[in-house]
Amino acid sequence: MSNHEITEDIRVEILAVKERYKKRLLEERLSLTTLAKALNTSNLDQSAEQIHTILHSIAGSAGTFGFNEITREARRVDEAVNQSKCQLAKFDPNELVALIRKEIIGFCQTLSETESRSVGSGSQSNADGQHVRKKSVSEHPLKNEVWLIEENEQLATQFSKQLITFNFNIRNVTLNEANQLAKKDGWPIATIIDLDSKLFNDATDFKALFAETEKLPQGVIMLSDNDAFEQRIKAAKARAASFLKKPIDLTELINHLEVVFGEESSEVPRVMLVDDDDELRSLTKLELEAEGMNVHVLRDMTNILWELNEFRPELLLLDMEMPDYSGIDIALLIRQSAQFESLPIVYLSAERDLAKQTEALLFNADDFLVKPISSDRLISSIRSRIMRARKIEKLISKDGLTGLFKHAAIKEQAKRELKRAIRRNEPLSLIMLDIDFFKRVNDTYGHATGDNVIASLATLLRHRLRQTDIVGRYGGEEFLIALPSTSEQTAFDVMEKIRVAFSEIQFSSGTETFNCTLSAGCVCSNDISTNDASELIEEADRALYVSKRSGRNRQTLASSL
Amino acid sequence: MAELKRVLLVDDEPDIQAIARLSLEKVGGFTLLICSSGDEAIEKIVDFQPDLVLLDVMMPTMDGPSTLKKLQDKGLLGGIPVIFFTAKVLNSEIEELKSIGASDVVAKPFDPMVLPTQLNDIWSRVNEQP
Repeated sequence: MSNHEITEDIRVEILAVKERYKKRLLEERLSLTTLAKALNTSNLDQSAEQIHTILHSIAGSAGTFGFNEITREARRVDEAVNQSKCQLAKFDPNELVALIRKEIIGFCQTLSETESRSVGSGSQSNADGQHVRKKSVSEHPLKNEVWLIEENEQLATQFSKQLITFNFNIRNVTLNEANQLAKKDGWPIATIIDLDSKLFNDATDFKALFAETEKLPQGVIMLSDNDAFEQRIKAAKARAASFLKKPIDLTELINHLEVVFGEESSEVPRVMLVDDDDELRSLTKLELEAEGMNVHVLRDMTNILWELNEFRPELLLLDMEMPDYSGIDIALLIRQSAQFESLPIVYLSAERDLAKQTEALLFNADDFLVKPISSDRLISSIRSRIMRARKIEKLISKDGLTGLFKHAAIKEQAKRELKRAIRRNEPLSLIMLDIDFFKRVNDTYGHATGDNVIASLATLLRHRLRQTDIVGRYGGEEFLIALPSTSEQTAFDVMEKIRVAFSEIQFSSGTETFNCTLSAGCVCSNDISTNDASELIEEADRALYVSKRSGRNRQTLASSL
Repeated sequence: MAELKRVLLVDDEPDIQAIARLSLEKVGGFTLLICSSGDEAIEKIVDFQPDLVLLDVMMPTMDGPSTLKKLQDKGLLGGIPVIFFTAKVLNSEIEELKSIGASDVVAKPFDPMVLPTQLNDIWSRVNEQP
């Protein structure tokens, strides 16, 4: 690799870390909001200290991740809070509380604008607007960190190397180190433990080995040569989520990690709020945001369709009584578009008349909540609606084996992205890829192993692409990726890393191990003037065919044909 | 003059640890050990034998200056330069940190592509001094 390539590689990794940092800013913002809300004259000293700790830490880190404005603001507000605190004797404490609260709310606004900048633009770009790999959305403090307790250095290196390919952040620790770290910050989402060391071998009770920490590790995957009942029950008693017998099949290990992470992390729910009452709106917004939801407020009703398309809410919270239109009018207008047929619409209304509520529901809405409503009730109904909608959506449009979009759904997505790209005058890149000689894998090792290979590639794609990139299983071993706001060259570079990473994965079947490769074709909307996504897909397919014909394990740009 | 090779970073924030790891290992090519607390650094410094220690000022339980004092008191430094890593950049604070034995101060936020050069510069300067 040339120096230039190494630097490029590092830059990509730095961007990934930056993306993760943004999630932390969100957490910090929520803590600050809570502190500011609870601030009063009696807890002033203590709260100001907590606020100072948060601001100081943000001031010292945000700039490193590209958020210079936040560093400046954090420093200024920190100084302001500190100064007002020093003048406690001169000020009325109540005024002081109001002053600090105002500064903190203002700062939270700055943070929130930084976060929403990427949301509003519809693509998840970071501060530098560059391509970022997808990261787990979990709000867990250790994010996608995986601890590996493995004394066998050779195995530790092998696991670390292979898991890093899938973007898991591996930290190799001793049991003692793990206990110390966990005592401080808690356990990560997943911990992999090799039981074949003396320490574990001699232990009659695995649970006792973690006695130092208050909680048992969660998401534990235990590995061992010995899968006798006694060993398995010890693992179960220590609340291990999985038990894998050596030699370890990487795909299986990844699958288990995915399950663990899938349970822990879920995407931030997106809610759009339509309400003419400003005060109530901002209160509802705060309440939902405090629960970690991403809330978008619609200010101009005439923009509703455009904003629905841009923000893509998972639920619409709609006020029934607005001056110019009723909630029913708006719900009907939305349902006129087939693409929003499945969007859950929930009315928020002061209407207590049951007959009128029922009538409103007849018009294509999903639920009716009566104001005033308690925060808990509001949040739980919204959350449960969204979770249910996600499950149904998944059943309808996602492929069972890979969790990716099915053929029809990915085509639909590609169409939608192309429309959006044209409207915004931005490039859209499509990549069609196919596993090389896949039939041989099935014939040689059986279909179960073949499925494993497909699932691994799907996992790799999910981990290596941005959240805004869309991946679907186009055919048996064929995948289609849509990369919004992405030039052909960037798409090529991203795919190149994935191609190489895939070729390095070692699959196993029984005692045999083998590798697979893939071929790809890449096309960018800039190079072909069409508003028909099928034409673009055909071009990508043509480029893929050229890759296959010229030797496989490579990609071809449609623009080079 | 010997090259700067082994760096011990003491910082409690996981995000900073992650980006510093990229910066110091990949950009700088240093051998890096990260400790999340002063206590951990005290426990591991002898085994790791760093050429240089990069120490965060603000940490929970034991802050940077206290960590430095403990390292000095226990005689664990043996001439290893200690550089403070701080979000405060007031001159008075820099002087204060130097007065308790820091070789230099690196300001946070830092640029991950530049940090290794900063450390190398400080390293050369420290070694040129008689």
